[in-house]
Formats: sequence, C-alpha cells, structure tokens
Amino acid sequence: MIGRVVATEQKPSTPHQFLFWTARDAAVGIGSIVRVESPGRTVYGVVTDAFAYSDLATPMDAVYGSDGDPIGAVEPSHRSEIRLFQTAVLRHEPAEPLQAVPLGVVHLATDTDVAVALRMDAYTSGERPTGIPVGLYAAGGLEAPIYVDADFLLGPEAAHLNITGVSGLATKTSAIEFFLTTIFQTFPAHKGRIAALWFNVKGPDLLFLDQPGTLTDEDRRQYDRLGIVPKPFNARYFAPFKADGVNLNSLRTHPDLRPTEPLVWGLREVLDYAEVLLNRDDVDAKADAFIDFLAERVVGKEFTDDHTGKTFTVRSFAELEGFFRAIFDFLENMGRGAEIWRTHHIATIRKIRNRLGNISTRSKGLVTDDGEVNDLPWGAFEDRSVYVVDVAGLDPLAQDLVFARIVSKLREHLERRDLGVEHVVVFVDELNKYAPQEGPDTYVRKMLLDLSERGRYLGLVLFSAQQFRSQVHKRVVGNAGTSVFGRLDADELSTPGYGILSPAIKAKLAAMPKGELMIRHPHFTQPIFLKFPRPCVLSGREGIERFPTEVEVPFEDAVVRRLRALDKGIQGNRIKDLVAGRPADDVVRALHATIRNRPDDVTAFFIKCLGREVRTRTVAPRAGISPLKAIDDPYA
Amino acid sequence: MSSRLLFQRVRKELGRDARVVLATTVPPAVDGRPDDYRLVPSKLIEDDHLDIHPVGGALACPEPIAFLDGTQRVEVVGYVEATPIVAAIIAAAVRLRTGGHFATLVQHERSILMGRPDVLESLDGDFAEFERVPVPADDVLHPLKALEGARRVIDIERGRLEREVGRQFRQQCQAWLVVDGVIADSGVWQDDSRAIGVSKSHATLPFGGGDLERYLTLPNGHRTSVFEPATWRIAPVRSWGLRLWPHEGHDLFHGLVRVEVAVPAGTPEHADLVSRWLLAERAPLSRPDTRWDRLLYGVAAVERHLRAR
Repeated sequence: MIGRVVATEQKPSTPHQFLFWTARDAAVGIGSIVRVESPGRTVYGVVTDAFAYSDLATPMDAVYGSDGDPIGAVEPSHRSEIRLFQTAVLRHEPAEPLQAVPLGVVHLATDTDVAVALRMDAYTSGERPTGIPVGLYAAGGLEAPIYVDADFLLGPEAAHLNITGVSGLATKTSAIEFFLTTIFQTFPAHKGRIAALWFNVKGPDLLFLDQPGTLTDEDRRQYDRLGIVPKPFNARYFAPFKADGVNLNSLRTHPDLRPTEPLVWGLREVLDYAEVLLNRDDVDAKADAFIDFLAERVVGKEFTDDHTGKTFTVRSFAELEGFFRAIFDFLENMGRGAEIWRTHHIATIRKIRNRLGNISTRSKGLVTDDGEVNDLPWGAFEDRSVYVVDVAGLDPLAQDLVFARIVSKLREHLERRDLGVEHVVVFVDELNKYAPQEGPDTYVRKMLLDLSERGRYLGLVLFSAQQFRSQVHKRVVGNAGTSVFGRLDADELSTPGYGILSPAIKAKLAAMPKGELMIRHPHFTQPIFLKFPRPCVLSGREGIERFPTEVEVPFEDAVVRRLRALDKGIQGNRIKDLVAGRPADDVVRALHATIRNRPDDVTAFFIKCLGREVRTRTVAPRAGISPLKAIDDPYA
Repeated sequence: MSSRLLFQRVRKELGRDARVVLATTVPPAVDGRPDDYRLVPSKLIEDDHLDIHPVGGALACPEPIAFLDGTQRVEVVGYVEATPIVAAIIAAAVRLRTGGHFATLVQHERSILMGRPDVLESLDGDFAEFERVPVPADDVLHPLKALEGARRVIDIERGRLEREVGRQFRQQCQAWLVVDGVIADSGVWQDDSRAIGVSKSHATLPFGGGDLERYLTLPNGHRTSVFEPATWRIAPVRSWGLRLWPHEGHDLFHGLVRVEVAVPAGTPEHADLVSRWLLAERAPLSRPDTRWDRLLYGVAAVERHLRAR
C-alpha cells in the first residue's frame, strides 16, 4: 500500500479521475500505474500529475517567519507537506455500474494488475493470444512487460504505428527496430507470415539490420524479461546504382557484409508510375492520354505506325527515343502545319518526351536505358525477413518513384495474395518531408494516405516516424492505431494536438531519456510510459564505423567489385582485361544481366553477356600494282 | 472621514505621548476567561528586581523534541427544560520531532456528554460512545451559567487527558517535551527537567505596577528574570516571560509567552538556553492560525493532527 484516495467537494473523485496522497518517499511518479481497493470495487489508474504543498498560508509568511533571510533562518520543523497525485482511470472492476472512484487504499500495480489495467488480459491469454511485447513498464521496483494487440497493431482491427521524437536521441529508429524484433519473434503463427520493407531515407540509419549490436547486461536482462531473443534480422538490401551504373548509390558497400543488391528499373517499370515524375501542372488530360497510349500500345509491344509504315519495338528509353524521333521526323516531313500525330498534338508529345527523357538523366542508376531490370523479389518475400531499400542518396524525384512503385507493387501482390507473406510492415521515416500537413499534394503523400487508410485490410502496415507530429498530415497520423512518443521539443508539445496531456506528462516527454517512450494503443485508455532495451542490431553510426563505405573506384574496379559480390573467387585482373576498351554501356549491360541471373559460373556468364569483342584496327593502305607510267609525267 | 482613518488619526495623536505604546488589536486567546483575570505578584528567583535579559540568537534544539497539546470540540446538543446538554470530544497527543519531521507517539481521545446529574440520568437512548459527566449545579441555574460550567468541566477533563498522554510519553521517551500551557498544575512534571511549559494566555499576570509594565513591554528576543509564580497548584515551578515577536505596532501581548520549567531546571543559564530554543521555534510560522505570534509550529502541528481526525 502506498497511499489513500482523497476527495473533497472542490476536488471530488469522478469515474475518470481521482487524487491520492502518499508518504514523501513513496516510489510513485508520473506514469505509475496504481490499483485502488475498496469493498466491491477495484479501480486501476495511471498517475498523470503530481502536486506538493505545505501548510504555508502565503509565501509572505515564509519571508516573515525567516526574518527575510531565506538562507540563514533557523527552521527546526519541516512544514507538514502533502504529496498528492492526480490519476486518470484506466479501468473499473466491475465496469458497471460506472461510479466515482471510491475512497480506497492505493497500491502500486503488480504484473497482474498492469495486465488487467491495460486490458492486456483479453489478448495475451487464451488459445490464440495476439500480444506483442513493446517494452517494460517500471515503477517502484516493479517491472511488467507491456503487450500491444497484434490485431490492432498489424490489422485487421486497427493498424499502423507512428512515432514522434526529436532527432539525435536514436529513439525513433531504435524503437522501430526493437518493435520489429518483437513482432518477428512473437507475431502469432495463426495470423500468417510477415515481412518488413523499410526505406532508408537518411545516412546509414537502417543499413546494418543484419549485424548484431552491442548490448549491455541490462539490455539483455530486459530482452529476457520480455521473452525476446536478441538477434539481428534476416535482411536483404537494395540500392540503385550511381550514375556510372556500377558503383552502388549506398553507404552499405563493405565487402564483409551481405552484398547490397542493385535496384534497376526499366522503361516499363517507370512508365506505369509516370505521373509520379510529372508535376501536377503537367498532367493534363492530353498528357495522360498520350502516356496511356504509350503504355498500352507501344512499350513492350510491337507497334506499327500507319502513317509511316514503320514498326517499332520499344523496350528501353533508347528505343523510346527512337520512336519519338520517328514521329518528329514524320511531322517535319509533312511540312508546315502538320502538328497532330494520331490525335496527339506535337506539343504534348514533346512534353512527355522531355519529361520521360529527363528520368533517365535525373534517376540515372535507378532507371536503366537498356531495359535490363533488377527488382525486389516480388512473390518470393520470406517470412520474418526485412527488405531495406536505400534511397538516401537518391534525387527526390527518384525517391518518389521508388516509394510509389514499391508500395503499389506491395499492394498489388497483397491483393492477389502472392507476395509470399500476408503482412508487410512498411517503415517510412521523415514523414514531415513525405506527408506534410501543408504543401503540394504529391503522389507520395497520396500514396501514404491511401496506405494508412486502406492498408490494414490488405495486411499492408505503415510504421512511420517524424520529428513533428503536428506538421504531418492529420489523416496519416490519425489512422495510426498505435502512437509512440520519445523526447519531444517544447514547441511541438505546445501545439494543440498535445492539449489532452497534463503539464506533468508534457514535462516528462520534454525530458524523456533514451530508451524510454510513451505509447498510446487502442486498448490503453491512457498513454503509458515504457522503457525498452537497445535494439539488437548495429546502429547506423556504429555500423558505418565498423563497416566503412568503400571508396568509389574506377569503372573497371567497380565491375570487379560487383562481380566479386557474386563470386568471391573472381579474378580481378582477368575481368579488367575483359572490359578494357569495351564500351561502358556494353559492360554495364553485361554486369546487370549477370547480377540479375546470379549464375553459378559468374565469369563465364559475364563473358557470354559481354559478347565477342569486335576490335577496331587501322587498315594499312594495300600496296597496289604500280602504274606503268608515272602519272605526273604526261610524256612518260 | 472613514472610521479607519479616524482610528489612525487617534493613534497618531497618542504617538506623541512618550508614555503610550501604540497598539492595533489584542491578539486572540491571550485573555482566557474573565473570571481568571488577576494580577498575582510572583517571587523573583533571579535578580533582586524584575529585569530583562537578551537571550541571544535563535538556536534550534539539537535533540529530538516533542510537543504536547490537546483539543476540544464542544457542541450544545439539546436542552431538557432549560438545562443544556453538552457533548464534547477532547483529544490530546504528543508528537516527537526528529530531523524536522513529526511522528505521533501517544494519542488519546474521549467523548463526553455533560449536563445536570439528574438530567443525564434521565436520558434514554444509545449514547454508548459518550461518557456521561455530570456538571455540578446550583438549584436554580441560568442556562448560560450551566454552559459555562460545562466548559470548565471540559477544561478539567482535557487537562487530565493531556497529563495522561504526557505521562505515557515520558514512560517511553526521555526527549525534551514542550507542553502547550502551564505545567504547574500537575505533579507529572514536578521533577522533569526536560519538560517546558509555554503559556499563551495572560489572564493571570505575574506582576503588578511598574513590574507589570516592564513585563508587558519586554523587547523582542528578551526574557524577564526567572521567577516563581504564586499561582502554582500542584508543584512549584520556575517561570519567565519571553518575547517571541516585536510587539510594537501590534499589542503589548503580541508575541509574549510565559515559560515554565521544573524547579531544578530554573537556572538563568537554562532559561537562556530554553529561550533560544523557543525563539528558533518561531519558524516556520504557524499561520494561518490567528495565535501565530505565540503558537509554536510544533504545537500547531499537534493541534492540526488532532483536528484532522
């Protein structure tokens, strides 16, 4: 027992809150969960505010009593003082009739009490439990695991998780990594298979999820308390190439790591999401119609132009450029006034040509010119695996394209139930950038809105993070069934969205240490403070120190490096000899084909793709038959 | 001109007369009961005439120190014919202060029902929680006189209860004990050198004439010569007046207490030491109690404890 409920006419107990007082040294604080016992009724609550005051009538009395000397005054008695705690009700037992909290004795909650108070008993027991541990509630020497309901975290009842916290304290990324560890280890088998697809949007944050992190004994103890085995993820990494087509546009290039797989898309992959790449102002009905025409009639098909009689097979940007060239040539040959080709105005055609042509320039490395594609393993996603797409080094336009296409593909496959898993957790950091409350209505924002509003029906779950929740689109954060808060900026806390929190909770949030967070979940009627261990994977900062990014190397060396990622026994000098003097495009094409096919004999396959070298040689003038007469001597 | 300004004006005029000590209001509970108003000259123990002594700065008692006080709640609960029936709940406690914090060591409470003996006997009903205490009465009694008689009984019963808790405290603890009121009316403290009585009431004054003026104009932080009050009933004590707060601008009684100790402890040196301890007890201030100028915080803490129950 730690205290007693007190109620006065001015501050009565209600069904939703009450006050209790304790001894000065009681181990209770903001966020503590307590149990009130009285005959016939048990009430659980969480402390939301705290007050202390003495019997001092006015501050002036203190001045008077001390003769105006606050330091030297002799004051042998300590004033009577109260420690008073305001508490929000979590649960009444029995629930009906709902009454004001009785004047009972107050106890700190035990493990069992915490489970009942947070209604975790409903989903952590029984034949098909759905509890997923998310941390430890700790107060007064007690420590209890906190579980969230998988049905409300990963669908179908509710879904999505949003985390807010200031940058630099590692709360957001660490918490997300820890949550995924617990999800992968405790997601109930009866709910199906689950994987995660995460976008690495800045630095090396998520680039070492397959490497074990450094844990303290306390971390291990917390993992043990939660019943979780701290082990790194089975992770596959994808990143586009840099503009040279051979060096990866990622900080994860260290040879001791599982190789990052190239993400290379062709014209077909891009054209389906062309509207991502066009400004909204550009996309009028005419442009839409021409894009549709290209997608349905031209790209990937054999197209015969009735006007010219020419037949086109467009599979790459290069071939598309040829197709456009033929149209412009035709119109020019038609002479003055010829501006329409198959009902499409030449200006519209030129606009689309320019925009699409820009893609292979601005997104060079992601978008290949030659039609070779290397993509995520659609249809073969593995259970409890993470797929990380590193877009940190990409042009914003290319990032948008990656987001849009990958999420759309996820949705398509989940709808068809042929992804390989039934649930996918998509993690997007920096929502302030990608789904801002204000700003243009971008395709990515629309996609995130759609994901947050309809994803749960498909098993597509959005885990998102940002620094300022107040500046993220309300429908994105509003649809997150579970919200997590790390340390918050005072300015952020002063926004209306935090108005329901008491000043004490705000103060606690403003000073939240690493490894602690506040969580709101549909089963919890009040926010709950938790602590969680460090993630069991290498942090981005540690990872980049231990596995530094390889310096960008010359073209030939980069080719060797890429091939060596497939076969460590590759002879570098032989490869360099093979590619020496060959056109870079041919080498890149052969390299991409080799990476995509992953042959047993990498060198042989690469040589085959590279084809026979047609060497150029200078032909010396052949010695002919000498003339009978000297040409310059007409008399000879 | 407002009445307030008129009072200020008259004070200003009086201030021109060197003999006048200006005052504003008589502090509560210095007066006791009118029947007790008297001047009873005491026997000086220290000095050959009533003198004043600076006691030095406030000094907190370095040891644990306890405070004893009692409370009473009195209500007239009915009349039989013209005779009042009075119910009272009296309580007393000793709280020991250690390291600045208080803990209750002994506490007692009694509920009593008072009235004329024949009236009490005639009452039917379940009054099990109350002890019936008859109030001696004349044949013909004014109802208000009867009430006054009941109050005197309550005072007696409360005093008895306080002495009982004091006795029980002393059986288990030898700490210094500050008793709210006099200790001369009990044999409990007769030889107890660690008991200190602090009386806030000045219904009975220990001097008359010029000594009385000197007694009532005692400067702040000073004590009078040690004397033996003539009013002791059970055991003789040693006593002195002590000014806790400046009286100037308030009243002659403001901040004035009379301290009692057992005879063996009545040396001037001890009087100085105890006075310094009591000066230290001025803080924290026991406001908002109206008697804050003489009510030590420790005593107020006992009172609040008893009244809160």
